[in-house]
Amino acid sequence: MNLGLSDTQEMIRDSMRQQLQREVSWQRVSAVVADGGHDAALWKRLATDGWLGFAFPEVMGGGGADLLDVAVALEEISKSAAVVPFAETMACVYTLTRHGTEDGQAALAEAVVEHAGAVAPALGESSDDARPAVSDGTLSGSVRYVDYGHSCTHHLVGAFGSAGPQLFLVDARWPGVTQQPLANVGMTPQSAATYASVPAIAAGDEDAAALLTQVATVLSCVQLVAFSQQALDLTIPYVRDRVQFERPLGTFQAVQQQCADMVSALDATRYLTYETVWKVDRGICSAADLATAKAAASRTAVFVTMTAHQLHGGMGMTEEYPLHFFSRRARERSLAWGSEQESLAVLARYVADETDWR
Amino acid sequence: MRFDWPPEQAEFREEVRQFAAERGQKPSWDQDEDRENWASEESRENLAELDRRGWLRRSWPKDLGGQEMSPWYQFLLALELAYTDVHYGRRGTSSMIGPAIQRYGTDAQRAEYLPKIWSGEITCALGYSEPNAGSDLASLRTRAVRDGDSYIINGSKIWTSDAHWTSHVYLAVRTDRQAPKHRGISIFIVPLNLKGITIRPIEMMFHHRTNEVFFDDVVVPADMRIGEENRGWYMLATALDHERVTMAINNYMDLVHVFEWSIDYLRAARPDVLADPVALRKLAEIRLDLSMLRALVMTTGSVVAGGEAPSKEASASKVWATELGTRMTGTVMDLLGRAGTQVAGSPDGPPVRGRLEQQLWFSALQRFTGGANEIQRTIIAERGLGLPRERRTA
Repeated sequence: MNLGLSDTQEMIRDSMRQQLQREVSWQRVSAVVADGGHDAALWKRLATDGWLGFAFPEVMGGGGADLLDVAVALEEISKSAAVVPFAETMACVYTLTRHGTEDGQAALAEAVVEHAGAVAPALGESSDDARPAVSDGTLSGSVRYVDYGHSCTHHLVGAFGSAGPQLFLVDARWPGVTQQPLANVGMTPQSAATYASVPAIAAGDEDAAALLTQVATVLSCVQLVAFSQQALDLTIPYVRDRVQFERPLGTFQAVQQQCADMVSALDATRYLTYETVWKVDRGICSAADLATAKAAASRTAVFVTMTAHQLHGGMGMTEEYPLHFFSRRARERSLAWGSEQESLAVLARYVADETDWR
Repeated sequence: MRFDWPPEQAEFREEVRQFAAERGQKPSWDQDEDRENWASEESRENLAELDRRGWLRRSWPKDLGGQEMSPWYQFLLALELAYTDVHYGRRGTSSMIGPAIQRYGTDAQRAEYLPKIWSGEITCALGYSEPNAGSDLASLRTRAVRDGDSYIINGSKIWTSDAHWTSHVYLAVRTDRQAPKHRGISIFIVPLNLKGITIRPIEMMFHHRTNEVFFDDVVVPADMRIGEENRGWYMLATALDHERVTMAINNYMDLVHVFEWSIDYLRAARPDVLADPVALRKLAEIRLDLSMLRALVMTTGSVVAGGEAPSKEASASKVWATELGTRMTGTVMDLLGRAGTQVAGSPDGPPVRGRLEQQLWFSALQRFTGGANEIQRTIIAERGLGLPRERRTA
């Protein structure tokens, strides 16, 4: 049991943090959000600096990062509010390099490492008559809620193939791919994708599809922890400095008690999130573990960011101040990959029969 | 970062689990038994056996008979013993008084008290609160006046649980009435059989007995003072941090127990409740809260294992555990409907073997003992987050 970061993880955190502090200002994030797309220049920069290859195993010429390393990097990116498909691409890279077909891995390496592409998981909802299916090597069907669907060069689509449910890698720039932009509360890029006889590479089997869901879910927990941490880190100096009734807000007991509840919920959620990342990395994460982490992360992030708004007053609601990035994205991620209630419904299936979970 | 135990610690945990399974208490709550069994012969035997095995001192320095192993051993021991409710003397004594004597005592005091604390020969009640010094503990007025090689103590303590059977009381008294209130307090370890000490029982609403202890010209040798004169407040703060770690571990395991028993009870007696998806969702929420508590308890352990004094983490665990205790008993009782009202003495017997009612009142108590939760939140905000001090009168 050791909750400290390894030397490598500290290096990952520090170098990512420094680079983002240099390059990503709140103004830049606002400009990208207003534009509706993603920060393509930052993505190129991340590629140049080797971040896109770092989760590939060393035998494949990558950096050999495990899922905890990925989580540490993702937490920093999420705190900067940068609009890049890092979580999405890393979820696909981690899944396919550990559990993909040879064809899938080769295509992935070419797309991401050689051409600085990005990959979006396309496992979102489909209507019954449009579930993606593959026949004769081409994929057809529709998927809603593809995060960064437009920004990514490729999609990793959950579809029914000859061997049952599988993962297929498609080139999202192919003419048969049409994407309708969606607007969400997080103001992050998202689309509904329709695939019409698009060439598809069989990239992973049913187990790979299950792993992709686990990885994407737990990485969304990491994002929620980052948003909560940022909301808290903005709130503490604010209530320390802001004077009303001739005293700092932070000397009022009612304010202090709310800050205490924010950090306690966050500490608990951070532990559960990283424990679950570790379990997924080891292949020992149960459905109840995953649902517990997601329910905790969703609940905490909404609680912490909304309490941050209360303690900031009007300043927190302005677009000139960065809190809105985190409260918006917290609300959005809290509903993605299992909302609090959806996750509790999963947990409810196990709660009467669990043993030795303590 | 890693979240499993190294093989030696995993093995140790298994050994403790086995010991705990053999010696744990009956899985029911009997109000009359509960009053006395912490003082029972069996409880003393358990303590002596734990000491014989060297388990209580694994994490202690070698010169005190310890093995200087990771503090996680002590943590795992406490966790597993709490799970099966193994009674071993007063649970708190060794974990709170021991470290304080180790850190602040003289060599002679360490040699005198520590072995006896481990063997169970010395048991301790905590003499902190007074009728006019509760949450504002530093306002305590029981005073000790130096008289040659002794002090003469006068005053009274309240909520001194266990004092009717322990050998000693760990006593906070005022030794300088002129100094600011935090700088005039000293700590003594006082045998309860000294002349001038009277103990009056106080009956609490959940069949718990506590005490009021009166000191009337009690003569205490000066070598029973622990640490420097007038520096007692700072020792007290350390001891209170350790008390909260102990509370966090015990509360967590108590709640796990009550939760598991509630599920067992529902499965056997009320399958209709477990067939209701809304009820299952409610239980899942409690299960989620228990996992968050586990996370806080483990985070606290990690701070202790890192050699630091726990403060914000232990406070957070204490707040979370005690408030969850109220929520949990509320949820399960509510799901039971009128059957939830039955207590010991009813021909139907109480649901969940009486543990729901016990936890209901116990968590009501625990939310304000060991430092009220409002004070814990202040500690988290000021010590943990560095917020400026709230306004207090000096």
